[in-house]
Amino acid sequence: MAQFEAVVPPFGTTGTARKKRRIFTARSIPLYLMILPAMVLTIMFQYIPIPGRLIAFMDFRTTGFQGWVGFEHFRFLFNTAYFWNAFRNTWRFIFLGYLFVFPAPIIFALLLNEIKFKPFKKAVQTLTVLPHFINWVVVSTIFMGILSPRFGYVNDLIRALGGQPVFFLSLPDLFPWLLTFLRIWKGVGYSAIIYLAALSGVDAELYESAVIDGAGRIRQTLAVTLPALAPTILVLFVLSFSDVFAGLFEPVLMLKNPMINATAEILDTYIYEVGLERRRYGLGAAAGLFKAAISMSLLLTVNWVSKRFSSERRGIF
Amino acid sequence: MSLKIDTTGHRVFRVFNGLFLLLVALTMLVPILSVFRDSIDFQPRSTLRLALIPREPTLFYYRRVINDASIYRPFLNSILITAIGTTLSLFVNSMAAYTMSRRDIRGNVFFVYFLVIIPMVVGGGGIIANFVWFRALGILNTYAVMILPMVASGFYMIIVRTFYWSIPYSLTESAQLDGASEFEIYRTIIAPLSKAVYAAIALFAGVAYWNNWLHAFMFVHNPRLFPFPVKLRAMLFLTQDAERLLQEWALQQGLNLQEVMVTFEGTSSAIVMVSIIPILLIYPYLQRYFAQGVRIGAIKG
Repeated sequence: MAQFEAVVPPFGTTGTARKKRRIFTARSIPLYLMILPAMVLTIMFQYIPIPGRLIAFMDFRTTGFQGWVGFEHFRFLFNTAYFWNAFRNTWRFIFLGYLFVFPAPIIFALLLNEIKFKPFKKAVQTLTVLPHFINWVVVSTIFMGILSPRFGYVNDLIRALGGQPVFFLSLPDLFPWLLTFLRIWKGVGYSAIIYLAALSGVDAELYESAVIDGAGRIRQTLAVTLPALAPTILVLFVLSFSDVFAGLFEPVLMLKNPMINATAEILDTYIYEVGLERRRYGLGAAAGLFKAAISMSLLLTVNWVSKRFSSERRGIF
Repeated sequence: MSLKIDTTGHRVFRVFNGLFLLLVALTMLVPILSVFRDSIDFQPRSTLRLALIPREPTLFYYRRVINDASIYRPFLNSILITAIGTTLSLFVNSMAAYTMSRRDIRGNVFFVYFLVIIPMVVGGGGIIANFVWFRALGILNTYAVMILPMVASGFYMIIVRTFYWSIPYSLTESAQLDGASEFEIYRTIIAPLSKAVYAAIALFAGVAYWNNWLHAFMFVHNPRLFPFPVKLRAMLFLTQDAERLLQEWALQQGLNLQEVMVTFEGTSSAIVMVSIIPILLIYPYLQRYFAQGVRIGAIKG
């Protein structure tokens, strides 16, 4: 949380030492009542389900608890090729996410920042932010349409150039790249807003002195622009975790088809299919524990990295 | 930002940069335009069609979609869910953020950990535990399951709390001296000054509720409660199934397959357009608030 505490105007700091001693005072009780709804909802939907993770060790049917089975479900998972396939693919998408989806808006913002012609800059920005507001149901349909081998726009283009039509959504090797492209397509403009805001705050004098020191354009970017962006990049590196990892479920579920299961099945879809569709709650929960472990270790890692590289040795928490 | 130095290298860079960004913008635009063209074009697809202009403009597909009475209820469901969810989210998170912002009471650090950090790191109970818990609560197949789990959001709380910190504390102190209760201070002083951040949060939450498909897909199976995205998905897939059946039938009857198919492609394109036209219309006006919210959230936060 250090990051959140970083820029703290002195709000409510007067006379803290004395007031802090007692918990319930005439002033604090109404304030606690105001936070109560958020506490109740968070406990209901974030904390109470946590013990439900133990379903991974139970024989749990639609009728309820049938007894403990120990590591039975895990043994089953370890011997299932489908599970390992989903496990591998999840990691592949995480790597592609950090390698391409995360840096794309930074590069995009840097390039857009070089444009001096305001109307063009504004038009590009408006167009690129737009897909963020279109939900995955529609985005996937649009792309299934334009990638369709019969009527799709892309294949019309290929035919016009004299090539053979390609059934893009049936190629397992292509799918990870296709999804990465779609995630960038949908998110790049929106994520760039914040970098552009940070860029507009860079002091012009810094560039002047860099030029006086004989720095060229590239050197200016490396020595002035990137250091100015660094704090934002580090914070978003941690916050983008939810986009990179949690945000996978919907698009994959929408675009997945039996022809590309080899690369499209991820832990989320596996849990959903095994756990909810086939009602094998225990197996689903066991795979869910795996997912939670990946998610937690990933979050702690990115936070650690962020801490390691920030000048104030601060992560998000 | 940078100073003008007109070297040849820089001029070349500027040209390529401009072209590249134009390409990026076109990549965003062309898919949407091509769907739009498909939705208003009666031209059979036997020919290549690279131009994005329709050859035989028609509103036939839109009429088909609008005349389908079954889309109105999901549409109203989505409006209901979005309205209630956004309102609740705004009240719950802005009040909680106020308590978090106050350093003079015990527990403000605890609240940040309990409401923001731990839920983010632990990530709740997962799909299966949620399902079992929702079933025990009896909220499967209700509007509640599409609204309540998303109301309290640590992310929104942090954004609003950070905004509250920019309001001078002296306002609160003088109101306290005048004998105002804490809730009155929040209602009459803090809230009116925070309209900008509330607008941003309302938009975040509004978009999240409007676009939410996953919760309804997993936890709601009663078609009367379906929100628009679920209905949309069902319609698009139905047309694809229907397409396959029709293809076989048309082959048997010796009809022109292309002409029959075009109806289905066109209808599906019209469905897509109907769902994004509202966004296209209001989005330019709201863009500003989003930018604002994002900035408060991540730069200051």
